[in-house]
Amino acid sequence: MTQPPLLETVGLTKRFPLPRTVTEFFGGREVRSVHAVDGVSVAIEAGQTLGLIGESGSGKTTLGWAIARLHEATDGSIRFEGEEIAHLSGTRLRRWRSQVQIVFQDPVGSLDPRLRVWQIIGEPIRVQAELRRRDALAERRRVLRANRRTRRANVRRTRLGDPPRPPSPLPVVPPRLTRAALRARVLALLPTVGLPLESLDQYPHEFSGGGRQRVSLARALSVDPKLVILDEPTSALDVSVQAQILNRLVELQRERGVAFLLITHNVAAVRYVADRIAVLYLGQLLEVGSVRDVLEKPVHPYTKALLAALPTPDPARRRIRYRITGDIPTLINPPPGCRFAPRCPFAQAPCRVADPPLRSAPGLPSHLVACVRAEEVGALPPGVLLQEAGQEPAPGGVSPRGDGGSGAAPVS
Amino acid sequence: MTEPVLSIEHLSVDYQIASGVVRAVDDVSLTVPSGRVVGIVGETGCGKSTLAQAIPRLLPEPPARIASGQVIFRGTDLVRVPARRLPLVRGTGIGMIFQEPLNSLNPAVKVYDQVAEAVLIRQWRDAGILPTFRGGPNPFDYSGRPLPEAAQVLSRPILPGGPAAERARRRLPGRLGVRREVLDFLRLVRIQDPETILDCYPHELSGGMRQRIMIAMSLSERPSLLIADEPTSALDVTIQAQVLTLMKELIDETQASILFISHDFGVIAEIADDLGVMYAGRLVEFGPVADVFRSPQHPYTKGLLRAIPERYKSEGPLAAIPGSVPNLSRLPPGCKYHPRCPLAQAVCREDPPPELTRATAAVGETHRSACHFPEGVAGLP
Repeated sequence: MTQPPLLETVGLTKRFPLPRTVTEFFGGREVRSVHAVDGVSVAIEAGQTLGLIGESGSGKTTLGWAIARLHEATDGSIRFEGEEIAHLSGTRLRRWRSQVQIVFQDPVGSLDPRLRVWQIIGEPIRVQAELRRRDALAERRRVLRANRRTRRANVRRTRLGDPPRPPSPLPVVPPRLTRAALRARVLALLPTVGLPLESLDQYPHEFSGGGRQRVSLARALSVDPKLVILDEPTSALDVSVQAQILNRLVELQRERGVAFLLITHNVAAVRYVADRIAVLYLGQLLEVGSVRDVLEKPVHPYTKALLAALPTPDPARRRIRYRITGDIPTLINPPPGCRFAPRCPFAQAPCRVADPPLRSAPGLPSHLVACVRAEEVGALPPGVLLQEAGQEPAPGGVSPRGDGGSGAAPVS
Repeated sequence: MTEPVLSIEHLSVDYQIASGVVRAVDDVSLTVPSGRVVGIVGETGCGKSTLAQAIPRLLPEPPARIASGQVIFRGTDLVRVPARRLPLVRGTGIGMIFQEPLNSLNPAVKVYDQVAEAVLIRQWRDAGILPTFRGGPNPFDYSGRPLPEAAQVLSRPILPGGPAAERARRRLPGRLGVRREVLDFLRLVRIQDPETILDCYPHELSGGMRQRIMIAMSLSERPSLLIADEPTSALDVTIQAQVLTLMKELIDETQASILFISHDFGVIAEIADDLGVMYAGRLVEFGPVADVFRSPQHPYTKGLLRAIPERYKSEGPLAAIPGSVPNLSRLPPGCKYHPRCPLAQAVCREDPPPELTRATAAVGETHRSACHFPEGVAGLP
């Protein structure tokens, strides 16, 4: 691959340290932390959508926030167009923010109730315009200083008979963005997200959930970013409105070539919008591949179970689904090994010792999976229930039940 | 067993708000036959939760007011039951499961005490210490039935009574008996090690576990009707699958009748026998779930089913319904759905659609819809 992807994370890790009580502090108890995102490496190509799916607590929102630089990553690197951005700060960070925008999960809480729509959508435009103006003014001051030096030097040069040097041209400073200009730019943006032009002067509370989500989307698109992080954009919406928003997203991507990171637990939405899918479980990346491969031929037991747990809107296809036994374990200093091992019908002793590495799935170089038994899981016909498959005395041995600590594989 | 457990006749519920009165449930009639699961599906603000809470009269009155209609539960019209007798009905007749179990469980009381309270009250009722709700024709006899043996609870249907009832009367099982029964009910909802969670507070448990405890509490009253209001919406997909499977197994074991409310067609398809679709307070379609999914007889149902994203983006855009759910205080005249309806004609803008009727000759007797032009629905894309 000659060109680096638009955005790439390498071993991105985010831990939230837990507070210690006074006795714990003086007792020398070490800091425990919530391992929200643990060594995740994903890439997003320009103009494409990466869908990030996982259950609550899987760290998908934390990952999105870390990529948007709203969380400071504990470890790992984030590269945007080949450039490290994990440690940007100050003005450089603010300038970079025009490249990556985020639509937040809660359409009520993420819009200031006291601002009108044009102020909400116009805020990033205003901030970036001011930033550009400030940069231009600083540049102008620098050029003026340099020209002053040139003038003084020219006095000397004429005295010595040398030809004087011409002053550098002054950079153009963009004018202050007027209210009218800002409103005009926001007005031009409204139709692209399907908002009526009258909404320019309305307040967020005058919109329904779908309307608010459109305002959020317009705000994110206002500075023409290359990547928009969509954090559960449709989870608060009804089915009929959700379809409108999803259609709009796909059209926008086609028109503007913007890349999306779609964070959601809604597999149906991901299926429609995404090009590639990454499956997250307890902060670890389990499987990543093209949307069709992951949804139709999953090779990780968790992905398979997650997809089997989806209720199908078709009463004729009711079935007893594979249930993942047990609940999601805690993320506070989790044990080593695959995070899914305690619930996995395929787990073997080595799964509980070390993290399985991310590797290519059998026959698909661009489909990565973190499971040592991916070949067997992938080869299962789609109708077979995982639990039963796991209980068969397969070569190599399988622990009969996912729950509990029955770690050892039965001896064959 | 032909008598329905619940039959709602022309129920209307109003809310008094600052700017006037809005009608959240408008002339809804439906029946829940005994042993069947009736699903109600609809978007936000269509009145499905109001309907659910109006049945056991849980709505705060005012601002809510049951404007008209009857809710006949086991032969008694609940709309006319005096308020002081309502707790009886709720406890012994109708159980409820709500969306967010953390809001329905008392955060300051341990799991054991919460379940034990429900169990204890029922035991007092059984022993005749507390009065019992006596409805009319009763699908199951609750007035006297044996207390369950620990081993039997899992192996036989828990609801029907038996001849040992008389012996159990006036003989309370005592503290150990309560504890045993609490554990039985927790095992019934497939909690692996119930002893370990008895001393937990609700916040220490996961969402799926809390919802199981809610289900155990509602079942411990042995209701003949269970109203489940979005019981799995707050849960993750894998946990939702566990709870749904559990509910399906419990339906088989207990033969309970359930009114199951959800916005998710997938969940409804999984569990319901009959399906009602609500829009802006009205029931627009009702029928056996397979028929409604296969040949919807109302353009709204068809639109909702078509809007479910089940395709990749290379396969063309999703069929979204234009517009959004109307505000209940500014409802359009005529058919409430006409501004979004592809079949709307002049008559739809003026006259409300007919009551639920058998839509076309092509569908079964029990499949009814409220539309002026049901024959056009099949031709919609």
